[in-house]
Amino acid sequence: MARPIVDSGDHAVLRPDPRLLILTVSVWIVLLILLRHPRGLVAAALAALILARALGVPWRLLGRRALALNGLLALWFPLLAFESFAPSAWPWSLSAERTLLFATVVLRANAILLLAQGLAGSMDAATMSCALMGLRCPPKLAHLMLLAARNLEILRDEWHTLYRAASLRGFRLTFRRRPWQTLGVLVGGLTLRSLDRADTILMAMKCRGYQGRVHILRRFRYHGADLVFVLIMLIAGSIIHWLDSTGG
Amino acid sequence: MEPLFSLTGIVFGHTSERPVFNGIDLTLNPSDRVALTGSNGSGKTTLLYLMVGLVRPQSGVLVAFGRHRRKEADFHEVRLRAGLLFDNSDSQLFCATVEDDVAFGPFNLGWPRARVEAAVRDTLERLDVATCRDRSPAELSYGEKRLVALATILAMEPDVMLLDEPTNGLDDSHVDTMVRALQTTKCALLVASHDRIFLKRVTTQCIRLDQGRIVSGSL
Ligand SMILES: Nc1ncnc2c1ncn2[C@@H]1O[C@H](COP(=O)(O)OP(=O)(O)OP(=O)(O)O)[C@@H](O)[C@H]1O
Ligand SMILES: [Mg+2]
Repeated sequence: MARPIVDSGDHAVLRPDPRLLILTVSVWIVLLILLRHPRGLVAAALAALILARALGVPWRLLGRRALALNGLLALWFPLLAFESFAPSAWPWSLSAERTLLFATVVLRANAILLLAQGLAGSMDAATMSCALMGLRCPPKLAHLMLLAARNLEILRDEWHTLYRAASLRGFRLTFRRRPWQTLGVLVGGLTLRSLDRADTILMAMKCRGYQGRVHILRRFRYHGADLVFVLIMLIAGSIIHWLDSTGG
Repeated sequence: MEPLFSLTGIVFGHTSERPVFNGIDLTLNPSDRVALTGSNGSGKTTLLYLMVGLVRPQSGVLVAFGRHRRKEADFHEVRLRAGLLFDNSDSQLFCATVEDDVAFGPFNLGWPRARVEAAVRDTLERLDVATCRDRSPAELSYGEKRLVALATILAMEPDVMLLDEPTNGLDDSHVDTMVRALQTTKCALLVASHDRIFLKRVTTQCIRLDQGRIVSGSL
């Protein structure tokens, strides 16, 4: 079993052709950017959640990523949602219009996160690069995506190794000060080691004649199930578009 | 017969105050089987890196396959014809499955698909790792990784293999498999290792790195 770019379970209900999945996710991201009405966005976020689950991304992982993203977004809430921070405007009041705008930003960001998770969770770096080449994507871009995906994998592996090495020597995250210092050291080490490994891997690739193009033995073929997948996505996309355009 | 590699007066150091090589002369001919020994930190790994252009000498002349090699572009051909086995297999294997990893080099050589498929099958069988074919290299055992890493370069049918500590961490039966594969190839070998018994089985000459120079050695 090939290892995907990000951890995912093996419970995928859907296994669409990688090229198709890349195309679909790209189209959906465009769709998400175009959606204006919260109704459409809620539907799109829900659909993205269902898709990510069907592609086998576990709840645990989705929850963790969503927490990180929304935590970050929450920091922006006061800046975006209040009318004004001028001392004269005290008590500061929430603007309904701006709060709504903030909600759409949150929904859109979450939906895109879910789509990206589904995509990265269901294929490995080499497959993604090959699929991109299969879609006639410029080799330079496919190369960049390959390296980015590879480096993500490395980052994850190195983090696991370092964290394990530290836990074996009794490291635990608690609310005292020392663990957080250790965590800082770990993250620093992580950066250095990952850079180093990314370097050696590129060297190893060059040693075997890599010049920007990856081939894999498996050949991509469209199956009947792919047609069903496209149909479902089309129908879902149309419903979302309809919800969006008929909203007030 | 033209030598595969010919290094003259190679000087190199990672830092300027502590040179690793101060004047390396080395000639490697086709079908030579050379053991490269030397204490830890004497520069064996560095020498192999230097030969395929992963590090560049500060001075000296490196001729490989009949041509003077200086720039990155010069080394593309060298890397296709000289297979380097890294001392750490984790940095050598980077594809999603073992078969894709072994197919990577042959595809880059421009071989047609059928030939690549045959090379992958044969090489994996020859090294007794055919059962790992569809697995991810990341989840293999240390010894399996080592053999798969060797398969990735053996499949490219190189003119010379530069092996860095090939038997590190292998049990006797894995070593035997490796020895058999190496004894049956026709390509030249330069093997950096501390495993004297293994070196005796696969090599016929010995050089030693000492104080940044190459001296003749014995096993
Ligand atoms: N990236 C680097 N930066 C600085 N110095 C380095 C680097 N890599 C190696 N060195 C130094 O260069 C010298 C030669 O290292 P090298 O790895 O080639 O030795 P080696 O003969 O392969 O040793 P071993 O038998 O332990 O594998 C060592 O002194 C080492 O500390
Ligand atoms: Mg070494």
